[in-house]
Amino acid sequence: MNALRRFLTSSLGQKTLMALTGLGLVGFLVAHLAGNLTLFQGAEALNEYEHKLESFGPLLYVAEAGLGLLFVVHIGLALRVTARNREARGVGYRQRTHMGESTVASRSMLISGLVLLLFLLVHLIDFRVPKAMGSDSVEDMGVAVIDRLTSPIGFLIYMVGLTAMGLHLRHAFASAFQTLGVSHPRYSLWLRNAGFGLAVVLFVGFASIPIYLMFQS
Amino acid sequence: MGSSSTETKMMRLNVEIWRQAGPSDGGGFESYKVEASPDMSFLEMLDVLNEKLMADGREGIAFDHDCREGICGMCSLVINGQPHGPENETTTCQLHMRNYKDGDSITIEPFRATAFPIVKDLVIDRSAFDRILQAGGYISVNTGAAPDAHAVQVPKVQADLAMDAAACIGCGACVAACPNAAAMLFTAAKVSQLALLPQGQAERSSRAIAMVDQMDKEGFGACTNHYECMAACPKGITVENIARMNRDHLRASFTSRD
Repeated sequence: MNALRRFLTSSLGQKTLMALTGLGLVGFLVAHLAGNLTLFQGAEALNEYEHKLESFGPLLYVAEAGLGLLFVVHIGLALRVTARNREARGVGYRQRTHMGESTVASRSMLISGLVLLLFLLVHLIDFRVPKAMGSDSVEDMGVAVIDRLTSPIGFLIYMVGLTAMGLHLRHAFASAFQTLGVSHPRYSLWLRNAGFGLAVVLFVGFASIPIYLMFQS
Repeated sequence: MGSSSTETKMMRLNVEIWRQAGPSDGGGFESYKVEASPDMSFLEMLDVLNEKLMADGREGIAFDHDCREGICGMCSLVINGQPHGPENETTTCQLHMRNYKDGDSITIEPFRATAFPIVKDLVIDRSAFDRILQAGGYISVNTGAAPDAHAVQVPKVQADLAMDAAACIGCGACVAACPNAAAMLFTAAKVSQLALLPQGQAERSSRAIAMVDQMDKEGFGACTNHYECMAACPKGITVENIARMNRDHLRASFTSRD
């Protein structure tokens, strides 16, 4: 127990947890996209998918709680580690020239993460909270989602959220593997490219849905 | 004709240097003009400036230096935003003024990290690195006559990787370059140079845990994998070492019997 506590309070232990929860959330995004893609077959297909999920009954709540835990641990540790990193620099430089592989994506992880968090809250208030309160407005989830995605403001918020997601993943995926100690000259570059590819695929995948819906209507 | 081609053309430079009287002083930038030859090293340019300042009855600029051969790890400085200046895998003492031209402006700052408090001007206290080494950067052996050179065989690949890690001179440029002032590259190099050799195996677990623990205690930041450290390192230490330390730390945390 003592060893576990020491690991979880160490900077490396906290980063390991961030990497694991982050990769877990990537898995969730892939599953979420798979669900959303049913919209290509219309609102009814999404409703069917939703009913299927609901048929899991209490198990669905367990899964949701697990997902919530991933978010809480990932975000909580991110804030903690960032605060510690700011403190470690102290007085900043007047001039700084980047020479390494730091990118806009890698330097804006906190910002893209916070934008994603805001998007997540809006998203939950839109769909999950009314549903939990038994509101009638979301009885037909498929139609509600299509309405939201094809309204100008809804579309804009969605695209901002997706951009933050793409930017975040661009750095996050390969970074998580490096933190977990997965690194080798033979495949490190491949992992970085895979992270970029994953960001593009998820961005295009999610963005294609409202664009398709708008062309259709 | 021959004399004109070998004649040294002096250049005039505007340098802005961080001056700070002591650890508790606020500090600030001061501007100076200095004439330097392209053949001078960067530190010789500062020597010339200091001689001029002292001749004028002013206090010289304090900066760290020792061997001036690029191997001791004493020199530092963030030059125009880059630790050890613009040359790849080069320490400040080995940086030459031929990289600059007449009329250039150069900003010189100390390495910045809470764990490297400023002693005076550009001199910083890097004893945090010493304490990380004292925590586990060693192997326990009896002193005495040197052992036979080839008593313990080490395969070439392992020996090369260990030597690459052992090239670290502990200058702290990795900390200076890291957006989070993390000491991961330094600590990883010191963990790796022993983890890769047979002599380092017995204490491999306790070493990884103790050195990471000390690194955290000193107040260094955490790695966010920008790899700025690797670009700034005058000895070309790679971030592969960081991944190796992460593996060692993870394994030690869950399997160590110490």
